[in-house]
Amino acid sequence: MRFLRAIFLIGLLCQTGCVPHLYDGEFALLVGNLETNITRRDKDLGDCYRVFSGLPTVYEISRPNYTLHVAHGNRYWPQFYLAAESKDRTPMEIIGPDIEPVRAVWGADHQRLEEARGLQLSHQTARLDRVLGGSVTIAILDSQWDVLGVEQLKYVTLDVNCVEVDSL
Amino acid sequence: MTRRPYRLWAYFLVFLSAPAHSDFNSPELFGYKLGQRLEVTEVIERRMYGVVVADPAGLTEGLEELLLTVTPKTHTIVSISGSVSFDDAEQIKGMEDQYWEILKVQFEGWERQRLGIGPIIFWKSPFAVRVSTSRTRTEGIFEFSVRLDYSPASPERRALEALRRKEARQVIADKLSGS
Repeated sequence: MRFLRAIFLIGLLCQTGCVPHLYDGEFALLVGNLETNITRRDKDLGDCYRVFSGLPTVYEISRPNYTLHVAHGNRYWPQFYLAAESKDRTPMEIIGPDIEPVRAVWGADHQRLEEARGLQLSHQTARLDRVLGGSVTIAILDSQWDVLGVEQLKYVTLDVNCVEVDSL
Repeated sequence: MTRRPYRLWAYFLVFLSAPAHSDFNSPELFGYKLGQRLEVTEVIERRMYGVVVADPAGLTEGLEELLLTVTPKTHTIVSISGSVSFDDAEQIKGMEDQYWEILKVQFEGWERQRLGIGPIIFWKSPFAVRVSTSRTRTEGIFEFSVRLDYSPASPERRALEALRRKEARQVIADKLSGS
């Protein structure tokens, strides 16, 4: 049945003139923080994929007075999206030289990302392939903007396979 | 010629006391200017995304909340926005008409654009005033806002962004050094 379905899909692609375009992307992995829990792994990374084993897409760093969620973006470049919340689940402010608020919270891209990661994400890092040093440092602030904690997100990047369907 | 090192110190002190990015050419909106440093006593409430709520006394007709985006340490104003929320998108139409007329007078001589869709924009390089409607994360709530900031590609905007990043680094360094 699967074979017939694959033949049908290939035939459909040929008839509609669509061509799958394969290319390399980059994906970032958090490293070096023993208190980081991986809360989600995926094979489907958005633009890109892993055939055999999934990669961590959501992490949680739990501290006494806040929880930081770190989710990978769903495009072909390495980028983290962030959300911090207090213990009563109130969203908290995050600042850092390499992060900014999510520009279009209601944009379709961002909605797809939040659905894929199962989180509401308030901030985004710069593209990590453009940040020097292999780490992003952020501060989590309380409602008076006093700093509750500083986190250094160290990462490594690896190549992943990506696919795009071009129409002729 | 005798050297007068105290003069250098005087120049240095004057330099330090000058606001880093205060733009005295900035037009005023709701009583504030871009680049101006906000006194901590003027902050009513702090919110996410570098936004603080300030005294709404300077707001014009129909607007209820005065929001300023500021840098994290010196509270230098990056953008100024007056807003009001509605349950019904129809109520916003009247506000757009009203502010089209108000801003035509307030920003006389500026370029302006009003299309059927998208925000109303008044601009005079490097400044832009944007009248827009957005849906908040809360279902069914629409926010009408009038916002002044620098045009995205302007050197002034980039300078304030650089200042924001520099101050974020300072806040983190202060915390790590325990001061």
